[in-house]
Amino acid sequence: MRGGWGFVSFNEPSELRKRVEEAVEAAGHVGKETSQFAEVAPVGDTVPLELKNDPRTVPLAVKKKMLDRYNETILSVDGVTSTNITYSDAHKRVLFASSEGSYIEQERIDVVSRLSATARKNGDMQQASMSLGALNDFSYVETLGETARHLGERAVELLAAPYVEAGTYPVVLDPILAGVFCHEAFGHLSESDFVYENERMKEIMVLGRQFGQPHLNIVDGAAVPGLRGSFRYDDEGVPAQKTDLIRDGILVGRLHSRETAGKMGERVTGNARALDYRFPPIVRMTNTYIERGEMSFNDLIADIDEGVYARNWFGGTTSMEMFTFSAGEAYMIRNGKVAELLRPVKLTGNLFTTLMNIDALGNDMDFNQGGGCGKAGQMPLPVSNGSPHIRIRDVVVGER
Amino acid sequence: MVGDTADRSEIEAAIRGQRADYVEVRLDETGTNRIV
Repeated sequence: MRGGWGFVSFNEPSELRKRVEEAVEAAGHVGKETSQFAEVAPVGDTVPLELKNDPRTVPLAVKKKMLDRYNETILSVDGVTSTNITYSDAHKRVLFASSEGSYIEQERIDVVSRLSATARKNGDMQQASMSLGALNDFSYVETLGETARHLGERAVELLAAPYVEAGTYPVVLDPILAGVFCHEAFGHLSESDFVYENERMKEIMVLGRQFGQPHLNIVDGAAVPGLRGSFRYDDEGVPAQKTDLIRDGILVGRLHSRETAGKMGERVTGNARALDYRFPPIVRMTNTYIERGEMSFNDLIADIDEGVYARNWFGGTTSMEMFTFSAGEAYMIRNGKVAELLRPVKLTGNLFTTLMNIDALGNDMDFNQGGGCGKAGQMPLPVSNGSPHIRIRDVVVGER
Repeated sequence: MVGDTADRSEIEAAIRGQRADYVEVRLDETGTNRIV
């Protein structure tokens, strides 16, 4: 009301009317301007589950047995001293109704897991891990045997691996780590609540500014089907879309709720999302990815005399345009070939310099669907991020 | 569907007639299996 929001969450549906009145009253206390929402046509729709392999049909005991088997596989690798495996599936039904006449029912099932192996020797400890996820599909959980074995073997191999010599290298990122970079370092800066509330970001995130070479295209969209960030309508009832963020190297778009789109005079993008009923919807990413290019992996590394091939993700932090990411797995590149395994590395840099330094894009594509996104205490929100292999000039690489 | 005690007519009635620029309601129902 008058640009102010009131929010109430509760667990007793029979109290609905009273709670709505409380929210309206709270909004009245804080509203001091004019409410501004981008126009959206009201929607009436029911979105059923689009199931591939339903985890609800697999008994919990069978799931436990499956995970026990993966655990035993990791522990069977000589040198592995401990493991950690987590799994969850959540079936969620959400109803959305608005005073503008929207009434939408949607269902989804998120299936997420994480496997990790730890190896120790002479006081040294190394870890290898992997996060995986899928929307409405249990299938990948049934085929993790090789992944489990590989994690155990890599944790042990890392004990004998050398440290990277810290320095500036050409770096090739695999699709998973490049996707995480795209989400964390760039995607969050595209969230319009962040831009709208921050004068410095308004100066930086200017539409029309060149952010990369002409081959660079970055997109966000829940309308891309079958991924963990996919849905039919966001939590304001706005139909899912596909939004160009960077097109031909130029910043052309950003992510909006109805309120940020209204305030900034831009079109809605369907990016208002709430973790669950306990939170108000805020501007969030969905499926964020770098579009594929044309080079094979062998061509990407062919001209690199000495560089680093970084795969998968371990963690990272961002602060405005600065970022640091830890790779889950790394190798030296020598004379155009992938060479020795390295101990874990971290990559550091300025986002805008790094985007400009992406000088080649692979012709492959993959999506990271593990974990989830955190913002304003709402975590883990189902998202995905993806990319082809990408090559970046002059990245600062150090040991983790 | 979400909660037996809140059907569509009740939800729309709770929203209707409020002295506000805009009102929205979200109801969730979640079932989770978790193994660690």
